[in-house]
Amino acid sequence: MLLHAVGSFFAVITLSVIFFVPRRFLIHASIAGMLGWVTYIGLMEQIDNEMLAMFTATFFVAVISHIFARFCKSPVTMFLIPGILPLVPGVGMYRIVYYILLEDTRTAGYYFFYVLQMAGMIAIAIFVTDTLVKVLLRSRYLCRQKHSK
Amino acid sequence: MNDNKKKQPDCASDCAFVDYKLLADTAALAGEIMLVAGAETYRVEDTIHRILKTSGFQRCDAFVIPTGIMITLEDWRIDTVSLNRRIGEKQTNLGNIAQVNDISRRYCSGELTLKETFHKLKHLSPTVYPNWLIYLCMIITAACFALTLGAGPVECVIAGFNGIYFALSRMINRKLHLNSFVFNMFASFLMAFTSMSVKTLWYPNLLLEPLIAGSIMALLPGVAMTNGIRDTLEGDYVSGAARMIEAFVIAASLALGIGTGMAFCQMLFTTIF
Repeated sequence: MLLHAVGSFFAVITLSVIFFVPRRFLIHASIAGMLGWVTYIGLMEQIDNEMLAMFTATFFVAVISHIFARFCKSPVTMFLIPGILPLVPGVGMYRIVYYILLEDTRTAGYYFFYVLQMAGMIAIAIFVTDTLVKVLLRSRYLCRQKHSK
Repeated sequence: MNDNKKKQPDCASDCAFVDYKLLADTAALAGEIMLVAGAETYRVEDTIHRILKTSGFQRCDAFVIPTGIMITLEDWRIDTVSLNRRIGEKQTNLGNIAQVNDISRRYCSGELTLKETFHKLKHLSPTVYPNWLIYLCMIITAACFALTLGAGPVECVIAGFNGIYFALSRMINRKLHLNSFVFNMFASFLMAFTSMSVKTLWYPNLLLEPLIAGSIMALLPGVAMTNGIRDTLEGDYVSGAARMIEAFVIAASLALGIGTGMAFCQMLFTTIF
């Protein structure tokens, strides 16, 4: 687990440099990425449901990114994109190609849908977090308006 | 009509304060920088719209797709201004997005004047890391991702070595300005070829899966995919679909490269041995 944490931390920190994240946000972005990956790995050991693990991990990353974005006054994308990159199903993509090469189209098709599912889970988790944050901000705004009246 | 005539004098004086051509230029420039840096379409549209809205004109419209920006300012007091910007090659730069976001926010809250804003955008100090650091980072990224995907020390070293191919392809691409499809394919071809050769010639129990998946991790279209899905869910179907296709093309280029590399290697070694 520690190995995973250290590996993902350094992977995300270097990846953020490739994406030109400013120097003061490098640590934030890699903490988001590390926590997401550790959550995913930890959940995968506990429960045997990959989609749920992926959803929870991405949800976690997205929430952390929103919190960082509030604190650092910068767009959410800055932490979100490096943060979710370890979760992007790279192994699945590799397996698609590998099984196509072995002319095992059934397994390749299986992994194709697996990758689509994982990508969809990431997207839905991000969308849910975005919507929740919007609802929160909106309701706070409305409450304030009521009070001022 | 009468109403208009009455309003006209003080509105005209209002108008004199807003240099509407500069305003349109500023908005287009902000949008261009953000779009090139890889921001989501709805974020770009929102930023342009906010900047244009400060003028208080009747219609301020921004239409953004991943390859271009269209802006129109329309009011009875001014000539209609319409701008088109075509966006070519993109380079993910999250730092620039943050900077433009910050500048536009300060302009909209009245902290900056229009001229200052334009000047700041024009002379944006881009977030830049030295090239050698980026190449080094590509190597470390590949090694670290291989580690998280369950590889041992040998795989990590080879993954780091594979990272050099991507750094090289990026270096050449910067000089030649060809499309990245060919370069991604070429780099992943070399990568798969190296990994397979090491496995067959030197180290038979090499784990290919974490090695190759880790090496391509830095190039995977994570940005395009996430932005595509976000755009789609925000209701920008054109941009969403375009980004999805972008993601698919990048993934396909990597997959093609890996596929041909592995097939070539298999063919080569079965004929030799």
